[in-house]
Amino acid sequence: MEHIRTPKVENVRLVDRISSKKAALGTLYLTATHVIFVETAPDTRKETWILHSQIATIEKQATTATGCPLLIRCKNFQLLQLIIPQERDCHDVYISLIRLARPVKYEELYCFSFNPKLDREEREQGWMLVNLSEEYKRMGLPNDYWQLSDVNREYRVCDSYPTELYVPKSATAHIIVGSSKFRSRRRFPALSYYCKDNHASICRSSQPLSGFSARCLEDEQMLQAIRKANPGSDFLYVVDTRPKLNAMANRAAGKGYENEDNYSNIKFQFIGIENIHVMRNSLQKMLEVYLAVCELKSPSMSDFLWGLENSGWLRHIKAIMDAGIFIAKAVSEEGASVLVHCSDGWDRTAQVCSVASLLLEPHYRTLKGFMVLIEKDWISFGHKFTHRYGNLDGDPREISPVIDQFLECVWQLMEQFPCAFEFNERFLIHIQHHIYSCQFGNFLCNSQKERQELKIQERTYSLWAHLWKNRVDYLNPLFRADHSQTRGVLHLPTAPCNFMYKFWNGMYNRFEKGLQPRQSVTDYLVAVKEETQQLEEELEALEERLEKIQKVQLNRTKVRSKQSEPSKHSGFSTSDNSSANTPQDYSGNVKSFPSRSPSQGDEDSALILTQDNLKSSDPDLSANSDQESGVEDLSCRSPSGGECVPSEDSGKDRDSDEAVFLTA
Amino acid sequence: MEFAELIKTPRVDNVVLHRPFYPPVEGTLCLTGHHLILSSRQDNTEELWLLHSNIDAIDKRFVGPLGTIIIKCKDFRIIQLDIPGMEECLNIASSIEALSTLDSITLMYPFFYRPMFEVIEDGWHSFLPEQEFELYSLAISEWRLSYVNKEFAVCPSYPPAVIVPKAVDDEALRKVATFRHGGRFPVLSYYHKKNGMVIMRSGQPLTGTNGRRCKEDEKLINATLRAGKRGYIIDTRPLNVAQQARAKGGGFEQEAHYPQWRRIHKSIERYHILQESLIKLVESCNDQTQNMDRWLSKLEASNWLTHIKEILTTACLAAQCLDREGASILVHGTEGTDSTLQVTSLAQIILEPRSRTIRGFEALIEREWLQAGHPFQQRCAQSAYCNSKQKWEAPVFLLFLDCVWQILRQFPCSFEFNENFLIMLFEHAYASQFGTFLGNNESERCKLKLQQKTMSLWSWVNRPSELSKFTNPLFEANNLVIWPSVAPQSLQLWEGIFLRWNRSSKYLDEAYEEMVNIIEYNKELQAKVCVDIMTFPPKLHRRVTESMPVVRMLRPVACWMLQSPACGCRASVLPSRLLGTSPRQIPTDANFHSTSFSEADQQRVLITGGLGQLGVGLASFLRKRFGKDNVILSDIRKPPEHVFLSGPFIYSDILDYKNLREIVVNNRITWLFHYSALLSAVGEANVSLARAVNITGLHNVLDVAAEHGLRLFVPSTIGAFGPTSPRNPTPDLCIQRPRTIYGVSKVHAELMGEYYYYRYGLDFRCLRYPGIISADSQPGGGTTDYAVQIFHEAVKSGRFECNLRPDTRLPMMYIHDCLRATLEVMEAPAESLSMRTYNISAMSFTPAELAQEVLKHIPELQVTYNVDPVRQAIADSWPMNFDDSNARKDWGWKHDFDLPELVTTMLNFHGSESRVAQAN
Repeated sequence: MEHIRTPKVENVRLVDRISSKKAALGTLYLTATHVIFVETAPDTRKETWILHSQIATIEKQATTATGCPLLIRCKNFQLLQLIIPQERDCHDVYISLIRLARPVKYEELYCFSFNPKLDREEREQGWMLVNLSEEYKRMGLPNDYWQLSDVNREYRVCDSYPTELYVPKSATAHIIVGSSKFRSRRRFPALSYYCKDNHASICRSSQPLSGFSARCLEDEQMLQAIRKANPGSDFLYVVDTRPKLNAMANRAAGKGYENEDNYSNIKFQFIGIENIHVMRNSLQKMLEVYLAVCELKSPSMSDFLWGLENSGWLRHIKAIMDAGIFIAKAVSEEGASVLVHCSDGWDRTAQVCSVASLLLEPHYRTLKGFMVLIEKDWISFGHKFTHRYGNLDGDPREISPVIDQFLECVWQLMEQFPCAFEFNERFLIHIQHHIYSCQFGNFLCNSQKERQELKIQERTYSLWAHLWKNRVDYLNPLFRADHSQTRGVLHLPTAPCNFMYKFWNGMYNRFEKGLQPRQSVTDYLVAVKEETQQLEEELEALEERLEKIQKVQLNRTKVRSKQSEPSKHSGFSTSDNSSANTPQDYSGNVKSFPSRSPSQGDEDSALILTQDNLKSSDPDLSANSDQESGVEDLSCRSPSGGECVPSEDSGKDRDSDEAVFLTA
Repeated sequence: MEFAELIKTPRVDNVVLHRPFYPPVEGTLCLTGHHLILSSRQDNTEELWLLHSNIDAIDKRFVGPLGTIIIKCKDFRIIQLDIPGMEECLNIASSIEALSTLDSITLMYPFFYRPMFEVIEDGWHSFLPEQEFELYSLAISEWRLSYVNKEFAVCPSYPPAVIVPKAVDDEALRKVATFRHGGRFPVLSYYHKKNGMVIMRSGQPLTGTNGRRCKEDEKLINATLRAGKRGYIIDTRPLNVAQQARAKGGGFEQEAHYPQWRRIHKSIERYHILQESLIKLVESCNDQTQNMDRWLSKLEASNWLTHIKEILTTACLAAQCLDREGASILVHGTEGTDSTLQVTSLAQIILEPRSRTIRGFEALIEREWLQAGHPFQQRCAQSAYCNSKQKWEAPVFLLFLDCVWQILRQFPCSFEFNENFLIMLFEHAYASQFGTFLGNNESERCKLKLQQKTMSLWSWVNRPSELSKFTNPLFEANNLVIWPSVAPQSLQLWEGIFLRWNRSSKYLDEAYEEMVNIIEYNKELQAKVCVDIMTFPPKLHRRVTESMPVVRMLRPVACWMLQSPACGCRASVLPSRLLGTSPRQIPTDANFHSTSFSEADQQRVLITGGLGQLGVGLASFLRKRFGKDNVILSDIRKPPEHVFLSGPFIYSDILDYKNLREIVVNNRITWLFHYSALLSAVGEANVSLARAVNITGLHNVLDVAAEHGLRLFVPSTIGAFGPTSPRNPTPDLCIQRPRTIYGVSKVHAELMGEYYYYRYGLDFRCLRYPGIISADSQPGGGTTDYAVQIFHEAVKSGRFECNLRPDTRLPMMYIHDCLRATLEVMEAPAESLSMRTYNISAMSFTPAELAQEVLKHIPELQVTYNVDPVRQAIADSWPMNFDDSNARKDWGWKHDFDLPELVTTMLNFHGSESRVAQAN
């Protein structure tokens, strides 16, 4: 609290970037965890909440006649422009937020103060929801070839690895330790995924410290052991996910890659995924494009496509997918095991292993399975969440959207295989949000060891339990456990289909509701399915009753039923009426075109909350709680019910006929 | 000219067809006047039928003696034919070239096409201007329909009837026409009921360099303004282009002369710029070698999405001016036949809910494109692969469809049609068997006599079986104006068109099917709940509904669904999506359907001859059991409205084996009820037809059922016995020597069915029906008809003339018993059936006995007898009484209705408060 210079500023305006002509007037509050903007409009009192941990940059712009603009860019791609009347207030807010957005120690993070009012037992159960030991058991381990190793007990060998690791049975402690000494940060080859059906496996490690000519017998034995743990194949793929140039440059620093001559029966392969710095810049470029496109009065299609192309973002996504596809094919089609590494084996390796696992294993495409996958390949194997996502004040060069890219790969797959995933796009977006929000403890720290030292499980709550509790929101209505797309390996075309990868509007523009489809097929189908379930139950109950009644009612009455008029078609309307009914600015730069009256361009900024949502556990996700309250033009809404009422026609008689006929 | 002259080689064997994502097919290539046909003579592989008019360009290559022809189609598909023999290859190539570039319209396929379907509604008359005007007429008092262009003299590209302001007479219109490009004076395009404002369209004003003006023109467009209101003129050209047009005599409305109008210039491209854009786009979509980066820049360089954005933005602007500003609009470019129509028609999609329905959209295309004189013939002569630089080609209509798709994508629940509908329209605009898109305007279409000589696309599309393929399952009527986003992020490449042949759509198709399944199942349950509730005795209605809140909420929905006239097209039978000629819908692997749906234990029922005395009743009976959409009626006749609306109906001719098989496969039929037959009295009057329908038809049905493992029900009759059979009682097995063609064909059916059962394991089941008495359907020419007619006459005239002797005893049954027996025997477990053909009976009476019973209710009834010798002879040869003990023993047959119940029920039904009281 000591960092908050001014807790409240009045008469602040929140600028709507899509229809920039109007701004909402309100009061800005700074709290220990959130920035809150409350509109003063008496009937709406819309609220916008921003978690400090979501703030990426704050920019104070030149003061104008109307006030001092403050631009807040968020890690979840939200962008807020506030205009604060007094320069002095603006400065105070700016200085406070600079500090609040960059906590220096873990204890300042939201998860340590966040309390969803669960008792201790519930919290502990929440942490047990995802259990890696069970996951290995599900894979069929331990078995004749693989065993649980205790070599990393108390993190003795590698402090960024978990303590529970599966290694080939033939790899003795001596071999493992020897191999670990020959690998960057001692991240020795360990099992990531095991395919029960053909014994092929995916293992992961860091790069070998081979320099130009160094060898390590134990490391060679280790790879040998992995190969032999797969009796179905006489060779092992070693996939270095870096561009060849990067890998060669590493040799000069005493690191490098495996020499095929030294390792028996390996097939070595480079797959050029760029490093975290390139990715960071790429995302930056892509975001700039879409920001520029959003801010222009009449953005052109060319600007957008050129910008998207120049950012290279989709090319990077494709590179990661290509690597995943390569490995999945090696495992499923060639039955060969694969060892994957990059430099340290915690960024690209995590991406590639998890994409490959997702392609191979239907279980990971379920809600629970996807949580397990992230827990396994990202959290337990020491992906550096704190560094990559800038949760604490640190080196900006460590920040990179590594897991964001993985989530996007999943989305790209969902677009290709609409029935294959149990979860929907919203699930991915919420995970992305919470990776940055620090509201739950799951993604804190850089390794298992650190999390244990911080006693994360005792002091914070698990996101997985929270997502699981609300799982109905995340279900893909098209998913069916017995559907052909659900079962087995997902086969992507080998031919380079570039048009396969698309801009993820739903993620990067998720706060620009105006840019999203106005009606959600997913929501519609979910509603239909819910209703179907109710109908099934009611039908059963009805038929039971009918049977009973028919037994009693042998006398047929002559009274014709006066059917009540069907009053309204109470179907499910997922149409976002308020926004659907509001035109955007189509006039472009036509100066002569008159401006619209204020009530017309009412496009909502997405992050609006009602009082109800304040009580909910994660207020920041209001973008998905769909609180739209735009001014509706009622005059143009003919009463939808009226139109659906069928007139007295023969059709009706026929139906009643049929009904009576059936009682007869 | 004879086509034969152009076909140098009509047929080549051992040709190999290559297409992306499909294994090569080897077969025989045939050229006909209008089609290129490749058929592999093996079973289970489809034939390729390609219209010559769909061919945009061909390339040929030779490697040794093997020639290769690469055919590039107007729908962007590319196929390759490997043809052995250089001479054959050259012949084929030059024939195709000649046949695909016929210069006379009257040689085109639509003039030769003979439809294989029954025309329910002639599409040429579906959207007459008068009808469209009628839709407005209540709201419009200031507008009128003018026939000033009746002989196409005023404006050659306008239809004979146009809507203009009442205040302007025909004489003034003629003057205005001379002031507008191509005589295209301003006419009404759209009337916005909400505020009475309008969109008009026209050609550019011919102001020229010296600023000509036309008072009548000014008066005409000012007549659309309310006092003190201003309007907007949207010129689809940029200002400088409009200014340049003055040099050629064109121009734009000067502020000085049109003070009440504000002009807005947009820049929608035309002609070769659009054509080049299409060529570039399709080229990059077909290029599989490029990397990620080049793909995006090529997409950008094609400018296609830029055109989309500009057109959509202009349409949104027009809609916004109209709806939000409350201003009238005049839209024009140069001719007013291209970009103008894109803008006016898209504005209507945004503003008018009706244009988002299937019929409304068809009307829109008819009105705003065909009648409005978009020169389809010129614009669609060539597509993305044309090499020659011709001046008039441009994908104007395709751009419009793409824009509609963009809006559809943003509002997936607001359109009654789906993406396939748009794709279908695209295909037919470029190559079609229908005459709809031939010619450049109404005048040309009249000269070509298209209405008389060709079939309308709408006649085909608006049949329920086709409509179901084009119906959007997510559709919920949305009466709002829909405002699409035109931001670059919101616009996408239309993969369904441009990547259609370059990617496998298997997974997306599966997703679509899954979606349809979810919604269909929901509807089915709603219908069931609705029927169940109605089944409750009325007194209990309220109690039931009150105790079940969900049901109360849903009931209106269900009722609405059942009664809505939309049912006909909503009764989309899922797999019929696979039916049809569109290549995307050719089922390539037949296994796919059976495996993916085998888990459903739900029966899918087809009833042939479904419009007869029993079919409709059976359908509604079975629909209660299996769900509305799982029971499909079929007949060769046009169904009455109520039948058509009550559930799926398919046209079928049982003499057309392929048609029958297609219906069975595409609808995943599991049970078949074969009711097609000519009955006894009618059959005697037309023996050869009875022989064809009753015997050949049965053979077709048996083969289809055996081939696809269906359970088959064929009704037999008392008529299957003859004078030499024991008549009282008649057992299941005895001498059967009938003397009517009806009876003979039924014995034939019984024997053939049993033979197929023993020989091929066909699950054949047959009941010998007695005379069936039903209240709500007309008898169909049988000998037992008197027993139905007596009730009609008793109530109507009080007099009845019976054409059988009073003592003619025949077995009879009330329809309800009959339907129940039919379902029960079909549901009986196979092991319980000791034979395939069973007698069933309920009662047996003579006309005298029946009259006696009726007299109890209507004492004044006069019954006279005037014996018809034919019918009497037939009746005399029939059983008096059926022995149905086997049916009662094997599968528990038990009748509900004896003579007294029958008479009470029938009379109640025909009584004044009639049709409902049947249950009493």
